[in-house]
Amino acid sequence: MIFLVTIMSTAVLFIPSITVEKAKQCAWLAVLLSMSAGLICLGLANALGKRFPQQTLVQYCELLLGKYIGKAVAVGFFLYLFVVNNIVTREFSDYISIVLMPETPIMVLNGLLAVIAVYAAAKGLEVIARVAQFILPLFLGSIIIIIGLGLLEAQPGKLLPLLENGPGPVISGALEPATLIGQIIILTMIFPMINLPQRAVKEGIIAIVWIGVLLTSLTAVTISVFGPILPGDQLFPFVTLAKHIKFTTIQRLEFLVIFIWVSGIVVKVSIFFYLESVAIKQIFGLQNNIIIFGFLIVSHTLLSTLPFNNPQETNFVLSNFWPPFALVFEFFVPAGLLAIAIIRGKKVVLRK
Amino acid sequence: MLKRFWRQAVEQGKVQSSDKAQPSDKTQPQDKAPGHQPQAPQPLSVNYDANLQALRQIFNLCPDIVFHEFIINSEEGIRAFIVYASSLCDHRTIGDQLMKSILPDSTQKGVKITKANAVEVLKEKLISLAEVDIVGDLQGVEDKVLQGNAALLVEGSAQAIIANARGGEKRAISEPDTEPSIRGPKDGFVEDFETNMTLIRRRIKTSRLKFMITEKGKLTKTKIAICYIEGVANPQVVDEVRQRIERINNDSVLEGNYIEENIMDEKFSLFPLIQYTERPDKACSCLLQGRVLILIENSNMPLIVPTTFIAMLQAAEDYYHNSLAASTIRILRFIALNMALLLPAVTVAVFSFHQELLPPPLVSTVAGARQGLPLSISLEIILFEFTFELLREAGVRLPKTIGQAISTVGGLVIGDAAVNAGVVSPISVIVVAITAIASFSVPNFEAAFSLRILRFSLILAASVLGGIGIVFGLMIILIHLCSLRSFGVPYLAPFAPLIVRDLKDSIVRVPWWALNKRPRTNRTPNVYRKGKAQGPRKPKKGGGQS
Amino acid sequence: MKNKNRILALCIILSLILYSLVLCSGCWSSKEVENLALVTLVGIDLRKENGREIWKASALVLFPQRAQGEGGQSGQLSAEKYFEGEGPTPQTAILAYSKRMSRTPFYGYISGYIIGENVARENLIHCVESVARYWQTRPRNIYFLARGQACDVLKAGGALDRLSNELIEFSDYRAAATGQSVGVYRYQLEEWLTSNDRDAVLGVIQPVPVPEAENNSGGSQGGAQSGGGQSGSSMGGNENTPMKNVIEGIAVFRDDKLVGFLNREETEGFLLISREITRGQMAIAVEKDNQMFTYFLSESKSKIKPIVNNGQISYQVTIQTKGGVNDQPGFTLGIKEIHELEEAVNERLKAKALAAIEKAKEYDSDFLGFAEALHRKKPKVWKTFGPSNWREAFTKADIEVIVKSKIVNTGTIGDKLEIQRNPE
Repeated sequence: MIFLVTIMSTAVLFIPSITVEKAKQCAWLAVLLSMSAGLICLGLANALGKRFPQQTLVQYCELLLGKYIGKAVAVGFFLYLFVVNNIVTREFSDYISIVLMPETPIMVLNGLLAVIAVYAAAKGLEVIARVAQFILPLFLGSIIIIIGLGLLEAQPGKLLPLLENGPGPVISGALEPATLIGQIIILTMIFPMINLPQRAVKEGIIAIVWIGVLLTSLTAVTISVFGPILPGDQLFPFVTLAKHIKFTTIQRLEFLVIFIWVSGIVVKVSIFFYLESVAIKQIFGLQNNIIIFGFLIVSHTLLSTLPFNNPQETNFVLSNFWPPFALVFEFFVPAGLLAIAIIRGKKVVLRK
Repeated sequence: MLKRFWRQAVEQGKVQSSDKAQPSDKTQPQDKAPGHQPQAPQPLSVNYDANLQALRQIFNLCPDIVFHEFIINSEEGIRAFIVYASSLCDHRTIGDQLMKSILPDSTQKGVKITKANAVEVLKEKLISLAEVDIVGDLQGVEDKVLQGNAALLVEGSAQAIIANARGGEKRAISEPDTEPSIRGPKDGFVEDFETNMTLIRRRIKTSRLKFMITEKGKLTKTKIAICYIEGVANPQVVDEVRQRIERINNDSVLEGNYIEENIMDEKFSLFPLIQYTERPDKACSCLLQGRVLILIENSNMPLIVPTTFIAMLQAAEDYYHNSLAASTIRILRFIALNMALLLPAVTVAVFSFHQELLPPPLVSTVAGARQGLPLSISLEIILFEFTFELLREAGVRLPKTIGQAISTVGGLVIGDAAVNAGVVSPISVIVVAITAIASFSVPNFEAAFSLRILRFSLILAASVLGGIGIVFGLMIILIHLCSLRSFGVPYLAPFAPLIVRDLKDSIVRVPWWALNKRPRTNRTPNVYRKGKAQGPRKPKKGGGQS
Repeated sequence: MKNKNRILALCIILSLILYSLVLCSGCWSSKEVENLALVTLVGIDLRKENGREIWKASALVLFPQRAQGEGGQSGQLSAEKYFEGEGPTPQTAILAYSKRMSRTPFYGYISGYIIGENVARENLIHCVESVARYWQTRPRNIYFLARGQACDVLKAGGALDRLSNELIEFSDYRAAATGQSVGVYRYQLEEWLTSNDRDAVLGVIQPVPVPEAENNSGGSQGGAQSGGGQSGSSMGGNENTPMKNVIEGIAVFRDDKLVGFLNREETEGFLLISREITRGQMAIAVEKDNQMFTYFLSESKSKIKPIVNNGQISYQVTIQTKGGVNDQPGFTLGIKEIHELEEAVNERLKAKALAAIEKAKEYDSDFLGFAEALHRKKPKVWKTFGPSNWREAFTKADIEVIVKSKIVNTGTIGDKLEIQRNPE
């Protein structure tokens, strides 16, 4: 459940735009493709989790790679979490300031979001999970309503022709959603804290399938309403779709979507805050919650506000630097760790 | 935000909180307060006069304590006296029954009363009356007398016969004021402890219904009964309740809240973590769900634990009406709850941030009506909500008849006059009025208090950040709610964590034939209410009429 | 412990500051509803002076007015007021009129944009982009092309209702139904302009002088067929000759340049080929045996099928319509006769469709969506045309039109009204 909200909340907004830009009318295939990437990541997380049921990724990094390299990788993974969190925060405030409240300073939005998320993070994983569970039906409901009402206006003809330029653009378009769905790798950090790890994996699979199906149909509907080119030019096609919908007298649904989406973002950011705090505790051996969270609030508020000047820069980073960076930590690091664990396998497991 | 840090601070006990002035803290220095001497029990003496003297000393300046001296056996001239609190005892019991059976000229034959056997004989005689007990120390006599017993001390005996003559003024059972219903029993709990136990026992006639009685409050000596059904309630919860109540050490318990705030899971909670009711039927239904009832002497509202958020929306009546009707009403109430919480905030957000949300014909009407008004819509609504809360508070404090007049007339007149004078716009009057009505339809009035606080904070949030402010506010509330527990039960129970089985009796209520399991939230060891498939069935074909 | 306390205090102070920041200087984006000027319609014109562009923006604005008398009758719906401004870019032009408004203009309720003919010929992209970038606009805003100046259209105002309402009403319900014109939504125009297989069209709106009689009588309740020609009331302002707006015809674009207009006949052809009509009220005069009758078209569907034969592209357009005959000069409407009438209708509709196709070929603009159909169904064939000459896939192709119309409604009278003529 928690994964679903976590991943959906950013994916919903940006995926149609990015994939459509690259894969045109076949973007929905790209999204479908990226789902399999997510499943691979989940598989990795599961394999690692089985091997080290009592430890987080940060902890067994050190175990496998020795003290210094291990620490370095662990810090790298922490940075990954940190960057994801910053980007998500920035996306949120960018979006709000473009679509809803242009006059409001971004800093305030970032700061408030960070404070609320830390409040949740300080309460612990269970509370975050419950919040996610509570929001989930609203979240899914709003997306499904938009998709359903969008279908009324859809012209499926716009999805044709299939694979016009071969599979190339589809694959390159799949990269980005793959990195988003790949965030499921955070499961490696959560494993030791859940009672029934196997159920978590099962839910992870369900979540990925749901995400895949919803995003695919969302992309397909967006294309079949706005054609294969327009969504690529827009920053937030999903909101445009919500704005477009008019069902008898029901219209201007974008507010519903935005508000529910904001709550999803809060959940996502708070889980990342939580994981960051766990990572800090385990890497640096700090124990004081107040220092950790205070540091996180301040650093996130500043770092998500300062580096980028406008949404174009955010998008630039997102589509150029982000995928390789994310891929390293979502795929290569866990895969490498798994490989080492298998090679040195029994010893490590026995030592525990 | 601030609250969060405050709370964290308080939890860690690093900040001396002035709000923490709960009775438990206060009592510490009062342990040695006058009128209450913790000392070894002082036995009664054989000397009649010494006893009389000692008791008179104890009950000095207590005009309601009556000492009545007489002679039991005229032949031997055995003196005796009876002491009781006239305010707590039934005079007729004492006069007609007690005295009559003790006094020597009664026609009965039998053993002769001597100094030696007086106590035994009298006890035998009195046994027909009520509970009879023997106490051997002064302290005991004092306690018993103050609980409404009559104590009989006979010359030459170091024991006192305690006879129950409880009576005195008490309120008759009447219809519950706070939770009236159309269908369903009309009796309500009263302040009298025994009556309340009776009301429950009458409904649940099983020996498995247990009352664990303790006494709390060093001065008030209030009886508290932890009431549960053995085998239905979770023993861990019962134990937890008992332990938490044991922990309390204060000098007075005047109402349920004295206990409530001491045994809650959280130090500060915006929502009621303990439910209470005035209706015996509701109390019993809670017991049957596997929950625990805390009966408190002199309080007509027993506490119910554990409770969940959804209980704020449930009324006893829901179980007496047709399930479809009950479900509809519950959904209505749920909407009302949301309206009471959100309507003013949403209005502010829409009017000053997201004007696109108004339908086009409305926007020009509304904007037209608001031309030239001095206050912004957010201030207007805050001000008017404030006025309304004032009216409501005034209405509660005033005598019933005047109170109603104040709240309705005040509301109408002020609203109308304010609109006419061009101080506020009609739309904010409408919004505040609807909000008020909606908040009245939330059955739990404790919840209404928290709603008010949250409503004002949400209006503030909305006037700063519009819809985003509301969402942020709601998220904080949601996080708070998710972190709450009531005696180990997650507060948002049937929804988060999701318990599919319990959804049957949450926002909707499915018919009784489908409610065959008790709610899982209470972790009851005895899951099944009844067998399966007991629903109404159509008669088999052929049996019916043509 | 002390250290911890200090950090805690720091945190509390920090959050206090944040909170007070929010409370004191907050409310950045808040704007009170009564201080808004609700812009309902924007017109954009362009002219060149000394080789430099001068944009002229005009707007219809709704000012809410203070209620008269008791609170019961709150706010009156005021008429739309007209504003205009000029500047070197559309945005500056808009700011120029905003200055004169004394209130914040609010575009959340805007119904659409009217583009001057000159804009469409010279620099449509600039205008469309600036609209698309503004966050308060919505995909369902309507675009119309004004014949002549957009500001004249705005000045003329609405006929019975506010002009903005009329345009919404027209685009949502009557555009395709009456066969007058099309209502093009913002996202559609953008989609057409960005696509590489289809050209754009826009509905045309034009102010024309009001006939004297109509002006005096305050307007007849003209039906839909009269071409939206209701009288202008006094809303239009204080021009010397009262004008009214007529929506009729279609403007055709090639890429982003206006290339021409379609007349009534071709407009109907366009609608038949590229739109699905439901709830139609299109009255079509058909000739049979030298007598005219009306085919009242209520539903129509069309399908374009590309056929590739030895590299030769041709298209088959199938149009299916349903309609009624309520108005006829005394034919007997038996089963056989109805079939004959249907034949006549087919011919008539085919002529309309062909006229539209003819015009499209003349303008070298594929606004009917033939190339699009080829692209979708035969992407390989379509690829043989480059990005610059894709219109050849349409202009050089043969097009066959098949019309299958049905008469499903003949009104409340059976065969015919038997008029008794006195034998002479």
